[in-house]
Amino acid sequence: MSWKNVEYAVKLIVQVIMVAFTSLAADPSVVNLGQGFPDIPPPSYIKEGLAKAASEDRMNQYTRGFGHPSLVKALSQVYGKVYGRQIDPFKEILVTVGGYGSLFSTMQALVEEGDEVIIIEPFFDCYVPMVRMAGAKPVFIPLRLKPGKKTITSADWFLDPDELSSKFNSKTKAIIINTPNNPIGKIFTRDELQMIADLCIKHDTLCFSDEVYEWLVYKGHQHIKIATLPGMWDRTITISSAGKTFSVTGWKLGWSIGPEHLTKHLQTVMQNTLYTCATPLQEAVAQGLVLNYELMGQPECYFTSLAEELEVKRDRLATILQEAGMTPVIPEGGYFMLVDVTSLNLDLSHITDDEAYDYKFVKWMIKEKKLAAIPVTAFVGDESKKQFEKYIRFCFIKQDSTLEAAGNILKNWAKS
Amino acid sequence: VASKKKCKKKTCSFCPFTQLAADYKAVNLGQGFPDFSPPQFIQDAFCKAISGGPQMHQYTRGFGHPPLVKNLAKFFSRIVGHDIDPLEDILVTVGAYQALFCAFQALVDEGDEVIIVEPFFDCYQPMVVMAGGKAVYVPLRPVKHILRMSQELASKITSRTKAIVINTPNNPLGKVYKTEELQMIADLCIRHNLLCISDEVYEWLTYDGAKHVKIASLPGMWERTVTIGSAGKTFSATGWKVGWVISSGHLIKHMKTIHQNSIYHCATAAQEAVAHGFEREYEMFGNPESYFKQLPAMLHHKRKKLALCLQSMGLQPIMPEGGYFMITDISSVKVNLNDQSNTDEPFDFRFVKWLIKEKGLATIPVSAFYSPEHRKEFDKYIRFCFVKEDSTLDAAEDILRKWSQQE
Repeated sequence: MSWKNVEYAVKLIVQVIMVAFTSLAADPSVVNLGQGFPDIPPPSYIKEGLAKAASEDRMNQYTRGFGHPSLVKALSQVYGKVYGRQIDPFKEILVTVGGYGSLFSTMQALVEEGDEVIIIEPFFDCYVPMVRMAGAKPVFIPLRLKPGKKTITSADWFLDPDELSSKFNSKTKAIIINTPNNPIGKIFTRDELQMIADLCIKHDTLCFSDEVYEWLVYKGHQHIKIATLPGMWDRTITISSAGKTFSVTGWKLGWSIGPEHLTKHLQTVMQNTLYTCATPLQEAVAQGLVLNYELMGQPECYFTSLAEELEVKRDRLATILQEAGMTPVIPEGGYFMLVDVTSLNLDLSHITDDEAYDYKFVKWMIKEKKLAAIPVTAFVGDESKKQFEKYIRFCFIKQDSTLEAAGNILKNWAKS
Repeated sequence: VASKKKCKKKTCSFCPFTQLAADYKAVNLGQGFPDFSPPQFIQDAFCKAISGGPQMHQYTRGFGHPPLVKNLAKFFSRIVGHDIDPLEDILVTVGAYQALFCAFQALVDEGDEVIIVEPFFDCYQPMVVMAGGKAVYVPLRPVKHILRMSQELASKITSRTKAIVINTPNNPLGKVYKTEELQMIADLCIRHNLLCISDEVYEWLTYDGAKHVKIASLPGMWERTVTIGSAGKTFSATGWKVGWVISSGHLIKHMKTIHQNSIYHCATAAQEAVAHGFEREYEMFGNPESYFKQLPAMLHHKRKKLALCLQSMGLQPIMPEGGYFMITDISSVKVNLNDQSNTDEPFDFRFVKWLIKEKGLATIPVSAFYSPEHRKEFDKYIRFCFVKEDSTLDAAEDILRKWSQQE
């Protein structure tokens, strides 16, 4: 790749806050609601499945490059049901190193030099460097907040249809959507997805749909796959994550599902980048999927029970934040919550670093209050920074004790 | 939807053989992985990691799990003769394969030339191309003459040459580069300011007293060498997909950028297990109980077993000094390939397919490891993997014996 692209990526890495803030928050006395991973354990059968797989000789050696057979078959079963269509396990699925690896394979396979890719802000921060690494140009469109509501939810954030339409042109190769969205937690409605689909079809554009939080959907909401809308299967790659599905982010397994004519290019990229994913981990995920496939629709199904467990935590965190005088954006899905800190009226003008308000706020909060979050302008392009700089992101897939510890900090803060 | 010009990359040239072997339930001496289990201590380490605290199942440090990079630094500093910084000089990757990918992506620019010594592990060329570079080939020739190799290598260097790729011990030949040969390559790298990408995944597997030498340990080479290693080959656990790059920080920095923008993290529990493996081997180093002594000793016997079997059949195996593989000249084999398939395909490709279908024995054609321009010169060799249970080698022996009795 050209040094130009590498430099760009390097610049963006400087902005990628995960690394920087992770080390800041690594101080054990800091209550970490920053980085997005659970501190709750995964289901025991998943760990047992891995131990069992690792004890089998074959499972410690290479498996099929595009995905371990038992895993792609299980995926075909589960998603065949969800999509309501037959999904070919060998031609329409690629197993990757996490949802991250799927995003990378998709961009490298399908995006070319000179293309434009539409990214909705706020976005998971790797989208931009990946688009650039493929030699393409990111084109941003922000979600905008409907004004005037007292209790704000992620549903109050919307895409302006005219603004969205104006971003499409003959150079547009793809639009990336993330539903449920990180960091806002928005779940795109059928109408919103249809609007995006109409534009994709009109401009012959691809859709990369990052759905890693697909099972984390709270009461009253439904996750809809854009690939199931008419005309969309043939132009959509849908990305999922075992890490987010089974609370095992450290397993780094994900998958892309899409039509053969697109998936085959992702498979080529896989062959030229890392060839195959770890075998015992894939076997364990396969077993976990088979188990839950039988339970789908029932309360014992992990896909349902995890969402129920998290909804309670979501509501608890929202209450704590409201009592502290902050304004949370109640998410419809996912495990993050955006919080507007404007009403705290914290004057940080004495900090002269050339950083957005939310960066200063988070650093100050870690240092002074021993509570970690992530600044939201890390998830937006330069032009939208002003719109988002009063927001910070909390992760609530944490033990109740962690949330209570955060609650204590915030309670004392409100008093002071 | 527009066509994807980038994706007209060469795909895996020997994947079809793996599938064919499975379809015909062939005795598989083809793809390079053990069919025996990893050593008990490493399996125990993995189990311990799995049942460890919740952090074992969540993200770890992106550039490498801290216990692993610390143990790799400690272990290899002693061998390379350089104080390796665990956080700056090491990147952990998803197998050595991804390490190679990061190295080529980070270090090769549009228009750069990369010299690849043939025969080569077949992913090097598509990776060079994907990075925008151009592969230039220098074949190893059966009659080794260090001066000639030096001249041939030197003649391929131009102002656009960025790097030389070597693989020692070599797949598929099994060659272990001697110090003088590495010194010759090092001299060229230093004189022409080139990088050296050294794929050393088989570093512990040397036979007959051959010694594996790290080119990074030669004077002037640490700062320009990227050394690639594999837990899969080191601990006979290819399915774990844990690898690493060790190099000077200023080169690792660029590979970290690629890694962070493509994969970002590697699986935690597997890294924890490999960390324990290296801790154990650090204590055992040089000891007969060291797996790094036991594995080559075990394979030494299997190598001999396979060689005798092939020789008794009238075939001429080339005894490898190191690695997992043995190649055999098949030009003396009289066989009617009788296939309606593509006669444009190299002879060894057609032979391997015939051998799978007609005799139920899987191997890999060696011309797959050569550049298109040299493929025809080397189409009379096939590659066997001998890192197999004795029962598998016995089964192969049965097939070969029956076949020679039929002649």
